[in-house]
Amino acid sequence: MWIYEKTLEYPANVSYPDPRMAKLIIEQYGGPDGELAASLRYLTQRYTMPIDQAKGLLTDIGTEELAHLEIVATLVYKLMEGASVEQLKKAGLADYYANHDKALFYVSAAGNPWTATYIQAKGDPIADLHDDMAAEQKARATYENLINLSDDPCVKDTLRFLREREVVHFQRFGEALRLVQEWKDSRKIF
Amino acid sequence: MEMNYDQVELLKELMRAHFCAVETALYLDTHPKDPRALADHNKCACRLEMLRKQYIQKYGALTHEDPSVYPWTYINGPWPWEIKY
Repeated sequence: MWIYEKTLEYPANVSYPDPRMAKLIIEQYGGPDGELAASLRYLTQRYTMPIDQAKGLLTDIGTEELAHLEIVATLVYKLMEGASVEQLKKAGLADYYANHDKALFYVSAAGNPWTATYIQAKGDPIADLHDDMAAEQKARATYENLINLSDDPCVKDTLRFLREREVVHFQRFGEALRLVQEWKDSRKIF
Repeated sequence: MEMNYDQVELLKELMRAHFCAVETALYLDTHPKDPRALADHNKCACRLEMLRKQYIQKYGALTHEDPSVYPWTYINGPWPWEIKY
């Protein structure tokens, strides 16, 4: 089971409201390589992992991604807080506002709603772990783009933390892949 | 609904301890037989438990499984997305 604790994994502050940046950062909330996709991908792949190390790792990283989802949500929430309708219109958020006001919704920066077609579960642990490693690299690249797009040192600091976590997760998935390969080799009968 | 300085500082201390435990746990998932990492993790776990107890006693429940004085403290704001860290 899961238990919610009222803490963020890492502080998320903004220096000033910036709906333009909110519109971009929402990419990591409901976009193809965002935190929702990451969490749901790992948590659903764990059931068919053949070794305990991989079951544990997918459970823990899938859970950490939920914590990242909350950090991204906090950034978007704070960046939109206090912004006037006029400012939202200027930031290109008029269509978002028409549907959602300032509510958090699972869309990409381009406004596409989240879909399960962003993720995959093949039942083949080698295929799934390669998918996971690619997902971490794509998320890292997205965070680097977002860091380049922001000029707020507070926002950049939080984005840098999230970027760094993708690198660590990639490393751990690589280790899990090696362990699964070793497990497969040990089962071969000659 | 603002948090005072002392509460934010203790919360950030707790967040740091949480992060240490997460980081060592992920490493141990793929290196369960690394005794040094395990010792680090157990140190993190002890510190986290100590800080959670301290925080809950001073400022109220962090999860809905924590004990609470009257009235129920779990719902008290600010919530994590409302805090200035």
